[in-house]
Amino acid sequence: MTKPKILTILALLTIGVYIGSRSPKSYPDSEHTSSSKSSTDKISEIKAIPKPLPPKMTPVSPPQATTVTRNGLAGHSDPQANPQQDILVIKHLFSEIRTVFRELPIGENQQIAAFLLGENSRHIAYIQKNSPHLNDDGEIIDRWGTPYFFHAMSRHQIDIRSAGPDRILWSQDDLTSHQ
Amino acid sequence: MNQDPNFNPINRRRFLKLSACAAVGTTSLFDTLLNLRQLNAASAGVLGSNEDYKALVCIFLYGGNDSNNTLIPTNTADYSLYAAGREQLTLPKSELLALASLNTQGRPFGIHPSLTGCRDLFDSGDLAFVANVGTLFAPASLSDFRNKTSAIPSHLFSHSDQQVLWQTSVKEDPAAVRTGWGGRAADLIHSIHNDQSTSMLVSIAGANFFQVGENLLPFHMDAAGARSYEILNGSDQYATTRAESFRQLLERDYAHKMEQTFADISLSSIKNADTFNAAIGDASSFDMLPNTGLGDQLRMVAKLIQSREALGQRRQIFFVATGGYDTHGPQLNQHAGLLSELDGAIKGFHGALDSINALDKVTSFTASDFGRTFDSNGRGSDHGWGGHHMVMGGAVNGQRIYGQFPNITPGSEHDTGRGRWLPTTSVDQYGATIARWFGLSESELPSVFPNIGNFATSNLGFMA
Repeated sequence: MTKPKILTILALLTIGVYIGSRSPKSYPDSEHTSSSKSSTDKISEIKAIPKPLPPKMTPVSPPQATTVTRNGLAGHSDPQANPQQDILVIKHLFSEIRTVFRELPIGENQQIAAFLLGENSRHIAYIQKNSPHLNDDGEIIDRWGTPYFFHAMSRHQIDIRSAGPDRILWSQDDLTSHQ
Repeated sequence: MNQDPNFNPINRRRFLKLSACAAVGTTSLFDTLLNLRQLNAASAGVLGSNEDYKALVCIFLYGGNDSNNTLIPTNTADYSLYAAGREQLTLPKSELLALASLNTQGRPFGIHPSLTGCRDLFDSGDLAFVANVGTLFAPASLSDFRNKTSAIPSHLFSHSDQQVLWQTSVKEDPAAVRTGWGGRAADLIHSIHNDQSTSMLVSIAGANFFQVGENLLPFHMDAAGARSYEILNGSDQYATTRAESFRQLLERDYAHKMEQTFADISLSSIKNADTFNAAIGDASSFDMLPNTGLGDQLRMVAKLIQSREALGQRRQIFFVATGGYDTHGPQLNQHAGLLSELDGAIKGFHGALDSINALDKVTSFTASDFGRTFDSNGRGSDHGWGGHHMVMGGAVNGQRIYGQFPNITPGSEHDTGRGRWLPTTSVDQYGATIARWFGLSESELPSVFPNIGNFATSNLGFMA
């Protein structure tokens, strides 16, 4: 490269740097140009600026527990199946509940039905309110329409008794979980 | 290197100082233990009189006795409520056995017609009823029940859970605690009164929580005596050699802890069985006791009480039990049979104790899973809560009904639903009154009945 070329390039670079370094002309507002105010006053003024209010929260309803639904009595009252199968369905359901909750609900038929409807700590609905396996009193019924008898042996074991076709509990045709 | 300011190196001087302290501490501990042993031995000698003997007999009615048909108010108003509530479970008023109660302020009570012997004992002052006893951790109202406050036990109306709670009276998960109030009481007094070689806790009805202590375990017998290994039976030369070889195997030292423990327990069991069977060898036959399940068990208890000197026992706790009280189905006949068996056994046992002059030394009491629903399920009754119980013996302030009989009006302040009575007396109060007579001091009661401090009184007054 020849010397004149180098000088030309340097000259162009110098011009470019000069043009690039020229900032647009600023026009400071009156406050900033007022050199009479001390920094203490400025701080006071800044402090005097009201703080923004927190964003207005839209009131929301507390989160609703999500109810998990299950078809816990699937297969119950199947006309093609042996009635003893119904007892096994409930027994299986109790087994699942015992696994999830570590114990079984204890009480009358209605209380157990309420638990199965979702009134439990995990909000799991094992049956639905319109279930054909519930009567008008909220009891779980067998295929002949009689409420089951749930016998609380312990927190881990409930014996199940259906009144059977004669619809009389403690009679010869009862179906039980012992059978 | 920076040294941890808390670091305190053991040098020779400090080691000697600590060793000296430890030695002194150990010496004191050994001295105390030796003194306690000497004290126990001395007290055993001083208290060697045959007169210093007390025994408790827990009669557990498995299944939940229908005490609504055991003790019944017979004034017109209450009996009308009773009949209306019980429907087909109603016992005719004319068949009830009237009690000559001294403390019911003119309110008459009757008991089930099967309980003739108990009626006689009540009227003679050797039997008392305690009304509406149940599992409870603090005095409770219906509001407590509905809100499931800490006064209310969990898993009400469940057989197993309530049996365990009746027997342990511990609020925490009973399955984790695993000691019963009989066992805990025995822990406190066994070494003071008894020869240490045999257990003061004897069950004639198998495993139970009631008699399990921190240090003591019950010895299990059956109505025929103490069972031992079949391999030890026989009297010919071969059998004798076999038995001796078996004993030698058990007396060996084993490196494996489980093997050693098994050997120790087996050997202890054999020795205890030999001791107990030898002790009762000359006992009376107590023919006044009926040949029923419960009668046979109480006959064995009577033999053990008669043999107390041979066993070196001055305080004993026995456990007997009978089942079938879970009367959901057709109840009336079944319950009558059950109470008939109970009555015969109680009456016979009273006679047996009387025959060996032990009536004042032995207190028997009933316990059960729970009471039953006042209303009928159509044929029987279902699981309830509070129930009425009997305490028998010469030391009982009998002919009285203790506690508060529930208000049997439907929807009353005691009705948690279907006539499941909210207990007005807790198991702790019931047990503490008995345990106090047995020898526990006021200060010892809370360690045996952890909830007793929540109740107004620990003494219901039915023991002399």
